Amino acid sequence: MKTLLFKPFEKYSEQKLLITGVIATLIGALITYLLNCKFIGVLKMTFVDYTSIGQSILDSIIILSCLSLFLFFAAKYIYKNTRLIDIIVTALVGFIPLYTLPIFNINDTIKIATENILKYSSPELANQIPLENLTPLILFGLFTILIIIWFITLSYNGFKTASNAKGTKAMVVFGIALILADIVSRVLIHYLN
Amino acid sequence: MHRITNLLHQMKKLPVNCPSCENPLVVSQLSCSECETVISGSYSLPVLLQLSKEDQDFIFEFILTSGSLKKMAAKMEKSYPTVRNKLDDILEKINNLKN
Repeated sequence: MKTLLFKPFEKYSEQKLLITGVIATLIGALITYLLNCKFIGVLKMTFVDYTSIGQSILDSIIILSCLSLFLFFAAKYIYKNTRLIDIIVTALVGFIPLYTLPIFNINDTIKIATENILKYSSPELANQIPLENLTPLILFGLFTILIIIWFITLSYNGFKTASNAKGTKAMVVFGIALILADIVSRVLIHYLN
Repeated sequence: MHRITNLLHQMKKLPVNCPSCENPLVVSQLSCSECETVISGSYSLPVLLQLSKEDQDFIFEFILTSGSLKKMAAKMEKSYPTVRNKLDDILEKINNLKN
């Protein structure tokens, strides 16, 4: 179970991982579209009034392409024999945990709670924030932290397997690649919308 | 082929490092099991024998699959990059032992 959740890249072939990743990406794009969510970067999701299925798929393609590209350059820097397919499956499969986040926005729960809380944004009204709005946001925040940890662990394990990376240097290079992929994907999604 | 593999698994583990000071061991005596001739001296162990049992088994499997990492990955139920990484790690160990 531990291998399946955190280290599938060590056990399963690239064909199986690629098929799983592509199917998960399509399902993820469908979920984000149906639940009015939008990934606007590798590490950033927002809630919107409306998005199209085409836009959701395009956002996923941009994010996963940026992630694959920067992780590939980073992996090549560490290990010259890194294969692109291993990095692509790392990006596709590594991103799967993040597709669970939109589930919190069923019936626009998080979007409505956020908008309601913003009405109490001034310091004198801060102690009057309704608990029914605060609770889903706190739960969503805690769940998001766990999911991001899972995403980073899964992606790093895939990166490590693809590039035979070891030690602190690999962690630093991976971290830089992840941040750059996040920045570039945010810029691209902003300009392509 | 399976029989050879099984025999390898049943073989006694050859110690390659001194249990006391951890330095590499050398062969100091060889004997003929037929006529009991004994040769004494100081012979270094071949590099491959200085690897761990697990690494030696890996190299043996590598030869048996004609050097196909894909076949090895399927046989070991591991992914291709995992098997390739293992081979790279063994190559690094061999290079370190050679130097």
